[in-house]
Amino acid sequence: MRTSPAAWLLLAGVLVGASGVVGGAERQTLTPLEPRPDAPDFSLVDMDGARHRLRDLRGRTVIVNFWATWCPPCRDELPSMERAYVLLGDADVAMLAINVGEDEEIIFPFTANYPVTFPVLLDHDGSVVAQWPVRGLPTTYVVDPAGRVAYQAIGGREWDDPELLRLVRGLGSAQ
Amino acid sequence: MPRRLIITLLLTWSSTLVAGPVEVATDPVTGLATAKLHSDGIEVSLTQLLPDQVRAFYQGRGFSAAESERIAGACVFQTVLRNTMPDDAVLEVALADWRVRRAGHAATSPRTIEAWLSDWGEPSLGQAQAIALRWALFPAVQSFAPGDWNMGMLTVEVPHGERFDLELHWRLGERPDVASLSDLRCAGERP
Repeated sequence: MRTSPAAWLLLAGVLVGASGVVGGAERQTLTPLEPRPDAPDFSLVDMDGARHRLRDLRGRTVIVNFWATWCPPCRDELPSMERAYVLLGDADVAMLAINVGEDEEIIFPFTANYPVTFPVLLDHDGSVVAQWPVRGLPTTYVVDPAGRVAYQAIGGREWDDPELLRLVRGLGSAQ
Repeated sequence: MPRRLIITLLLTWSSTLVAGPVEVATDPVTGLATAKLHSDGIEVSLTQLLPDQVRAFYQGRGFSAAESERIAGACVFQTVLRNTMPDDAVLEVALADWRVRRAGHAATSPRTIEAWLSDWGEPSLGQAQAIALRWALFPAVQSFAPGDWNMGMLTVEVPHGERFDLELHWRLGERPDVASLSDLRCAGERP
């Protein structure tokens, strides 16, 4: 059956509306993990073909975000991630946004509307997300400078919230 | 421009089940209804999705018309669930515990991601499509710390246009809880 253009517009409306039903103006939290598990290593290329390996970032705090373009809360949190990335420029914090299962042809035009300056990595076959305890998108982990997962956040956040920035900065640099 | 909901009905809870009020709203643009449950430590909302919206979503993810039709043939709700506890209580949800109750029919549970993938067979579906299906559907089992939330498509095996009650079960810490969203309606081809 052919899908009418109106269905696409309605779908967009429902998805945006549904994200706002429960998604707005909530307390911003990061869940501490104790003991901190080792972060599963990965090596992925970004949209420019540059390779990024998590292990190479030891000594820095790393925010690892799993997302997809079709996921409304993923889209909602991207601008605040970019603002947080800029605000954290004074700290030694890296940010990696791992797209799950989509191609450059989809992601590239998407980033025209959601510009970010941190690397967007491509997990084409979903093999990296499968190594992390992700159940839904978006899910974000904060990896401490020793390579252990210090915090997790299931669902979108306002990443430039002062409390979240304080927690991320609190992980410091090389220990 | 923020979207406005024009019809809001507050229904009081009236059974032995423990829960707060249920809010039902109809979106003036889409004509689709959202039922939202507020209870101690949990917020859940279910928004009707038209079959054509489901087709659009999956065809946009590379599904063929025939493949998307399989999912569109189910009853699909965009579902958002959040842990609203102020303390450290973890909210645990398993869709296998939920009950879809319909007059004259045995109770069932929502269809899980695993059931869809098992029934379909990932090789025949294609890797990209299987990834999209896995991550677009609401997870079968999930733990939510305070502030955590998730959004996904919930599928139930109820014909389009028919009504049912959805009994939701969860645990907050060690405490089991249950609530019901009554008289939900599967969207038909038109709102």
